[in-house]
Amino acid sequence: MKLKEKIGEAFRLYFILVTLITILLLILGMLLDGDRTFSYEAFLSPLIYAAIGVIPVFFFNGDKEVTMKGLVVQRLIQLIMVEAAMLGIAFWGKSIDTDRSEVVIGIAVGVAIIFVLSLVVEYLFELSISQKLNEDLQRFQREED
Amino acid sequence: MELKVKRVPIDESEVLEIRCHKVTDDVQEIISFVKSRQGQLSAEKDGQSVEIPVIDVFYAEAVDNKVFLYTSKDCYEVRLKIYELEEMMKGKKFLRVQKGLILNLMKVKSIKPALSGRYTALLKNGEEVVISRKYVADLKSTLKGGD
Repeated sequence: MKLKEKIGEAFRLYFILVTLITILLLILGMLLDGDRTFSYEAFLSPLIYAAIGVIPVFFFNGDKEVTMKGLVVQRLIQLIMVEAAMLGIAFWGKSIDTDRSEVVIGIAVGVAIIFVLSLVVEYLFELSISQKLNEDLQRFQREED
Repeated sequence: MELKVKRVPIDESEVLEIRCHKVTDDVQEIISFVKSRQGQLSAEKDGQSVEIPVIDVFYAEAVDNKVFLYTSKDCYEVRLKIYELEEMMKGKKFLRVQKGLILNLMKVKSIKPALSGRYTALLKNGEEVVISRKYVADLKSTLKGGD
């Protein structure tokens, strides 16, 4: 995959992640720390976390073809990388209370859910592209017959 | 090899004759090219030479330096490189969809996503072929009428 294509894919994934992380922060915040208030800087969090989340795009989208099994392994490694990065940043920045283990579990599960949801959104994008491809294919076959 | 082209009157049938000492791989390649232009491909199955109509080929795949043609139910070996076959098949509704696979678009029933920018082509004989992400742009362009 060329760098231009990687940047395009990273941008697409970035905006999906920003949306999903914002929803996750809303749900986790309401469940675990509903009384807390933040300044406007809190709006930066989804943008920063999403930026971390797109980093694997630049490492895992080479030109080499991978099998379905290889793809699953790739995705699992990506998930572990993203989990480690997100948890690392969350605790390193001391933005959460490390004594509350449910917060750690909440973030870890939340990151995994977002990861899966981003794959679902990606699949839905590709599904809409495949529908267009099928329409074009049928037209192509009619014209060529 | 000397090359001669001789014009013949319109009422005389056109003939392409190859005069050689031995039918080498190069000669075989020329024969395959001419046959492909006439809608036929020379292939082998169980040591027997057979002629395969191009329109019957579902896809061609390179495996371990050999190239195989797949029809609805059979598989044949063809003595050509995959890029040579691709060149011959240009303009015959065939498109490269993997590094070593050329697909007959007329034999595709439908296309579905296969994650990570790849797609799966379901063929009319029930087989499935993966379309690599690298070749998706070419597929879109070809289906829209581009080259």
